[in-house]
Amino acid sequence: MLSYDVLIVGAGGAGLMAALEASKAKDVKVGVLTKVYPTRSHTGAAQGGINAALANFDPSDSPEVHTFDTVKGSDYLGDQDAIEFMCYEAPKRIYELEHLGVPFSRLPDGRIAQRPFGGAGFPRTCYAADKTGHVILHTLYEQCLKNDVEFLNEWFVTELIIDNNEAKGVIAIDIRNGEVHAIKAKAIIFATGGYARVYWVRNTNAIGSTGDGMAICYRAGIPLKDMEFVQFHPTGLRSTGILVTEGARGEGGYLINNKGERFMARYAPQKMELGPRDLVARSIETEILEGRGWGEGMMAYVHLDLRHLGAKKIKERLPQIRQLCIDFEGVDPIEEPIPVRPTAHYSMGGIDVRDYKTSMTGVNGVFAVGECACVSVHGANRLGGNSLLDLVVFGKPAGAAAVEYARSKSADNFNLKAEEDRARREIEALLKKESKENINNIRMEMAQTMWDKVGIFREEKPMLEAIEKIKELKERYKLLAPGDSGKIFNTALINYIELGYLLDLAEAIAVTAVLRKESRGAHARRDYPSRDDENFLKHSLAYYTPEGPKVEYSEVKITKYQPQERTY
Amino acid sequence: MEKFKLKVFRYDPTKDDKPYYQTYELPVEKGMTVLAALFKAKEEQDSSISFRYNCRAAICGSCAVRINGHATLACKVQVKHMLEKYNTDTLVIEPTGNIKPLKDLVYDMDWVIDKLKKIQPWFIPKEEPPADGKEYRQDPYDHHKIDFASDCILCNSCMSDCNALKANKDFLGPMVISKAYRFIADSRDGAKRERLETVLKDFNLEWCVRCMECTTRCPKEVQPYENIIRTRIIAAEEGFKSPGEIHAEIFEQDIYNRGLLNEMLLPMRQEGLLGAAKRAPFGIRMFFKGKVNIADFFGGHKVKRHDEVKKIMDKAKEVKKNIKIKLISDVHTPYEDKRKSKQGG
Ligand SMILES: Cc1cc2nc3c(=O)[nH]c(=O)nc-3n(C[C@H](O)[C@H](O)[C@H](O)COP(=O)(O)OP(=O)(O)OC[C@H]3O[C@@H](n4cnc5c(N)ncnc54)[C@H](O)[C@@H]3O)c2cc1C
Ligand code: SF4
Ligand code: SF4
Ligand code: FES
Repeated sequence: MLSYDVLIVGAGGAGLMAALEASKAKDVKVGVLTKVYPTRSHTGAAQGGINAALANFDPSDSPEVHTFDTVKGSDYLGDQDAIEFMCYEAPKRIYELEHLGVPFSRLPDGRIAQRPFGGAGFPRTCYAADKTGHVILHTLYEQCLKNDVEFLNEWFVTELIIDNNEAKGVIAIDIRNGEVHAIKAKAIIFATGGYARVYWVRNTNAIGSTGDGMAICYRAGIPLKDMEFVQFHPTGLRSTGILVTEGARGEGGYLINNKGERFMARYAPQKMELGPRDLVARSIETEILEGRGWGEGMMAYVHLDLRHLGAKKIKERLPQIRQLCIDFEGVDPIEEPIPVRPTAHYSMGGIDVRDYKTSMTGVNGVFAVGECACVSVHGANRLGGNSLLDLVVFGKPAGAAAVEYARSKSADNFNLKAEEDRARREIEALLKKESKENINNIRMEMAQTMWDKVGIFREEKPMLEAIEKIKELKERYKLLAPGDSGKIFNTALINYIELGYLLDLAEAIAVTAVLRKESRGAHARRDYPSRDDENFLKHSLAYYTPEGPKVEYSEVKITKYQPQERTY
Repeated sequence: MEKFKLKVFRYDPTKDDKPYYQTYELPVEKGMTVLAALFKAKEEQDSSISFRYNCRAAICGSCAVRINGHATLACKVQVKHMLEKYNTDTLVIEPTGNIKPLKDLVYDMDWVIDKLKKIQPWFIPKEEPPADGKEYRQDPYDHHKIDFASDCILCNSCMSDCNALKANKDFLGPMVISKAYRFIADSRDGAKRERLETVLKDFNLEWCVRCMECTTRCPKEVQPYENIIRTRIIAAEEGFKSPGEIHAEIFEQDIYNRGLLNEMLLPMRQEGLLGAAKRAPFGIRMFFKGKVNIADFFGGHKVKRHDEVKKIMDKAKEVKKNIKIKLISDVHTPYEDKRKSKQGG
């Protein structure tokens, strides 16, 4: 049986940062397990940058201001001790990344360049052109290769095994040959990324951002925190949800409905298309809801029209956005308007981390970092550039803490073999099972339900309907089977299991969203339009039960900054 | 609705003796990428098709396949555009070339990573970080030298269609040499010479036949071919003699001294006794076919009027002193920032 002292599940920015730190300890055996090759992880898609108050661009910036911006951005739901830790660690981690070789863009004097980003008081975002996540991910992977970190590439975790509130190991499938294994581990770090795929095509994340680690921990009894908070971006391409950045509107693009109107005049007569993100997102959705869009259901859209800018300006000022539209949507914005709609972008909620200094959860030896974790530093709304930061700031101490924890544990004789045999039988049964449902139908119905009822607009009645619908879909899921009995690279099996995770997470999102009777950050309720600190300045915790999530609440850490009204 | 045929390479080594093709008929939808078409075929017609994917946004490098013979990211091209480009109703989807397929469109990535490891694809700092713990300084111009090269997403499109790799599986290949260039050209890196030695070994730079297929295929404008040339230039600047250069020098010496080439001794002078021994069987075959002059082994003969050849060459050398060699313009001015609009996120 495979056995590790520290096992890291996930090899995006968070997992690799933890792996790099853990692998410095030569007396412990470290393994990294990932369902895609490390450099294929979603972290590579992050473009804009990573925040740290280096004060390279503006000397008056400081970690203190960064802390306040983040607390305010979180709509006071972030834990202030953890946020302060993150913002004060930030410059050290950026320098560390640079020392590992990350090719950051530079200022004329050779220091790391910084630029302004939404919600920040100063130009604080360090970047490498438009591929910051890509270069960080590749650099961390390269350093792991250098340190001879052991990778189990294209392995898929299906279960976490806990006994007596202590980590024992995981069950995983080797995708290359279909073998089911139990892997023994003293300490397990989950770094499996976000859950925006509950909205399926209406999201910016990779296809594999199916929230696996969250669902696995949830089913094993670890609560999920603040799941109701999902960040939306106003403009994604119609077919794929791929992000169309602010640049297109910034250069003067018009948002047009099927009546040919520049509808932003109704919602933001002064700023028009340049209004704040959430307002633009809500305006587009309103147009579509009231029948002034094109297309139907999940595929409905409005137009982002650039044609009046002319071929020359589009080619000169927006070459990448143009290429993006041609490649992914088959539309050349010089000739045709771009079909767009809002799109889910980031998951604030995640596995409940109890101690931000170690990233340990309530279960001994189980840690969580990155987008799958909820510390919480992002609270009700993440600031752009703070999530890459979250990966590296918390990934590193988690790696070290997992090593310490593993050292403190001696070998035990827990019977993991029995779990392995059971899991193998279950998977074999699945492969033989005949399917009476179609995976795409269930997935699209889930996505549509979540989008229409637990998306940008939220209200009690539709959300209760959504919960019922998800329950129905979970019943229909039982009739579904992978439909492929092959052993090697059976990705139908993987997609099947992922959908099961998404359904559990969708339910947790919907249930916590109904119960939060206020509007805060990204959670905008029509029936409760304002923030209610009296009753809801608290984290939600969803516990798994076979009948659906049981919700409790925990305290928000407030140190220096008393909640104030949030205006920008 | 208009339909098209998606003809997919199928191979499951646990079931099939040899690969075969399976065709799926699908509607031509606006906005449908080839990756989306593969998913549609998988989810509606045949769940056993295997292919890799993740970002569906041309950044993770998972989904490279050959479409009608040419490597491309399946997520980055529209079905409609491909049908128009090849003027056909059929898209033939095959795994990347030059790399062993494991199942259907999934290829052996470990083989590529092992190759990559040979060039130590990791940053090795030239010096300790500054005493204040802050960043290494890097001039923006120096940064631009590595900026485009660090765009590589390890997608293997270039490896798939490389003609040299087709002929010699031990060739490092465009992606790997381009990755080496990314570190060689990094002003902060301290292992330049070591890295150059690695890529100069086994004729890696000479194996490239300069077909430029790699640069044409690259979805990220990494310019792998140009990076090979840049690596050669840096090697020359560093005083390394590449095998190509040594080869040219021997040519020059022979012509100067004898007026013709001593093919017998060329391998030995170029690769040393041991290296030449590897070529002995080839030489022996040549001998029996009457293609070798044994006298060459002992210095060989000269051409008639050898002194005139010498005169021409002396004259040429003199003229050469006054000529400044100019590099091809696109190789010499690659370092401007090609990104005009910055992205948010
Ligand atoms: C388009 C876009 C742009 C963005 N831009 C920015 C930005 O500019 N700045 C910023 O700060 N943030 C940005 N973000 C957010 C940021 O990229 C993510 O929050 C972050 O990359 C998440 O990293 P991670 O390490 O937590 O997870 P990921 O990078 O998603 O990695 C997850 C890992 O877990 C593995 N895994 C998952 N499930 C399993 C399983 N069941 N078994 C085995 N392995 C598994 C995967 O293989 C993968 O290796 C952006 C996000 C998007 C979508
Ligand atoms: S230019 Fe050289 S490296 Fe590139 S494909 Fe051709 S032979 Fe291969
Ligand atoms: S150089 Fe280009 S084609 Fe080759 S692997 Fe890198 S990104 Fe792909
Ligand atoms: S799916 Fe990531 S590059 Fe195509």
